[in-house]
Amino acid sequence: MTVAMFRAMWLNLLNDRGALIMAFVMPVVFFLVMAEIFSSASGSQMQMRVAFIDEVNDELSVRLLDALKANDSIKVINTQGLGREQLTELVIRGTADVGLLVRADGRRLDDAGGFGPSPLVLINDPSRGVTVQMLSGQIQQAYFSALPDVALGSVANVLEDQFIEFDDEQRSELDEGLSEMGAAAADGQQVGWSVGDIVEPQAVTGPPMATNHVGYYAGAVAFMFLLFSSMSGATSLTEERESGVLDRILAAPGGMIVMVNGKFLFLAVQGCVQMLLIFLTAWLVYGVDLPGHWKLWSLITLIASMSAAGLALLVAAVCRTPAQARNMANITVILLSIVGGSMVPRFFMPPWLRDLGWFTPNTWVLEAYSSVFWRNEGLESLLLPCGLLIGLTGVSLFGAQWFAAYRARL
Amino acid sequence: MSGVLTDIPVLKVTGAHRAFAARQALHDVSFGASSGEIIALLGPNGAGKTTLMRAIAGRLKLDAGTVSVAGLDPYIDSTARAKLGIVPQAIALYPALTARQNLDVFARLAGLRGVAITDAINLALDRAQLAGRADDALGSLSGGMQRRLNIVVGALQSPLLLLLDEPTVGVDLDARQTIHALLHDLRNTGMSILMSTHDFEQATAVADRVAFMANGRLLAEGAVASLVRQVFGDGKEGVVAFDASVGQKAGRILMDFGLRATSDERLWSGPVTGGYEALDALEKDLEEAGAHVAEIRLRDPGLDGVFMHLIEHTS
Repeated sequence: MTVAMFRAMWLNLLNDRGALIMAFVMPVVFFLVMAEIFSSASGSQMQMRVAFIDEVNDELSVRLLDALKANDSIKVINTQGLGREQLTELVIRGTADVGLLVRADGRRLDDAGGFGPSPLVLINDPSRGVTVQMLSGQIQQAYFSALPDVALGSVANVLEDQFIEFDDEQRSELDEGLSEMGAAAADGQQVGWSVGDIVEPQAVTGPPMATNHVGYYAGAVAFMFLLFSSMSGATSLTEERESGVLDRILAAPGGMIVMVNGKFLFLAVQGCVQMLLIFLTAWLVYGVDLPGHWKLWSLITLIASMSAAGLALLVAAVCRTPAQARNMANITVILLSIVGGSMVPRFFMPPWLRDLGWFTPNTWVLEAYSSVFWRNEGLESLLLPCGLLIGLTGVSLFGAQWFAAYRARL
Repeated sequence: MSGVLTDIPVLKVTGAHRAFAARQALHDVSFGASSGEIIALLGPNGAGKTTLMRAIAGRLKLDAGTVSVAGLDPYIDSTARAKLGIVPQAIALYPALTARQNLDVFARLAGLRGVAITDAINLALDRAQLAGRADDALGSLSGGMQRRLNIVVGALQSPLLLLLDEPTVGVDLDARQTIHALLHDLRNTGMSILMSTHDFEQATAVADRVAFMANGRLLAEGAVASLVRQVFGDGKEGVVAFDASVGQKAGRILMDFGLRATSDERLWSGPVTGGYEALDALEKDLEEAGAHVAEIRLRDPGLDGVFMHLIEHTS
């Protein structure tokens, strides 16, 4: 009996291609994609896009930047002819993950322990805060490997500044000082100097980092669940075909167009309500500034919900059976969400996967929300993402109507 | 809309051909229906009933021939489709909705507006004898109730022609009777009903006319009594049953007598003109041929006998 049941389950799986793909192909695909993301994010393959601007342009700064540019983990963004403001703009737009400015109004690079503004400024987006730590590490490495004379000279300067002469009395004083320094270091106090002294992180304008992160995840998670619920609702298209409800509706005056459009309208409204609930929670609990951006938020949310509804109906219309539609829906949502940045921020992804993200609605929805909630940009910044999402909506809704009519004639 | 008698027939199918790859699903089918009649479309699986129903519903383009509903082609004209009511074999309703909510949804989809919706819902609930259960969820209704609701939903907008696919599948005898009465009610309003079924007994009980299909062809059509008389005359139908399949010799005797094996090879039937005397002689011949007769009798001929005869003569 147990074997018979096993056999029944096996035959069912074998005869359902969608379930077979979900069971044996998709896990491998997901593993490969996630492995690619996490192996990239864990270090060796992760490539930061860094925009450099050298306002000093002396021998030291050139040597330092050349050493950094030679690093495989850094992809250099062209900044020819650009200034400070444009560098910040590159980071805000996401063209660069981080910007490195060698500023003219700071200390010299060989004056690491001195007073005054740091010679290097890391311009970063708080949502990609990890870039500051990563690039600081790379600068430290470059500083000591590419500028050893500067580094040692800085140490000597520090010694000269702090210990002056090396006679017996001073030697004793030096030993005492080093001993105190060692004791202080053992107590966890910061002593001496580090590369931190030559680098000043500077966040681009926008809300505080914590709110920024929540704003990102609100959009990311909301759109992923919007896709899930839209796909689930759209599956009724195939269920109604199987149950015979479709036969009744096709005999009605409106026919297939009315059926698909009615479902589209419902799914779009349902999506708006879902997005509203998630963003209300983000506002009430985490302070994401929904009231301050409600007009543009409404526009993005409406367009995002429409695109999810259209896409979901297209997937359902293409499929022959409810089981096939459910499998296809799961596969589509998970793939789009992984690649589009709803599950893992796209910053952690290797460049090819990041580029692939531009072919997903998730990326454009997140881009639109980012423009409003992080960068405080206006309507003009939404023209491209919203235009593309509206295009996707139109194409998928038309496709859904065509496929649904085609299936009905079979 | 129903009950409007004009010169234009409710349904007219002329020379319908339709093939799926090499298989001819419809072959030169011509057929019609007038208002206020129930027609049963009979035939085995693969006979072409569903293909014909789909063509009439406007869901299928014919390779040749025409279909018209009230003079209009339902494949290209939504006005023609609006004159149709569809009752699929499955319970084509929303399971989470109540009976009334289902009626309301489908009334609106059928194009009814305002007070016409309320009137149509109340009439449908009365016809289906579900007024007392109108606000119960579909899932809590019995199989027979769901079947009745399934039918009245198809008739909400009072279509000229109601297409039913196996309307009594899976219901008990009492529920069948109620459904038959419901179909007669609808027919009496002037609605024409075309019903696809395997059930000869049901066709005999409900239909004014029957049409037999096999292998994509329309074998015969007409009133039940008329078809029976065409095949059996005033005679009876002889039925001979055996415990096991008969041998070649006994088979030849049965065939010479005019009987044919049914789908069960132990059961033979066919027209008998000589009454019980002829049957006695047949039984004797069969015993001599070594076939043990389990039962032999005469009965009033029915549609199954007509169908057997038609299949025999067609092949």
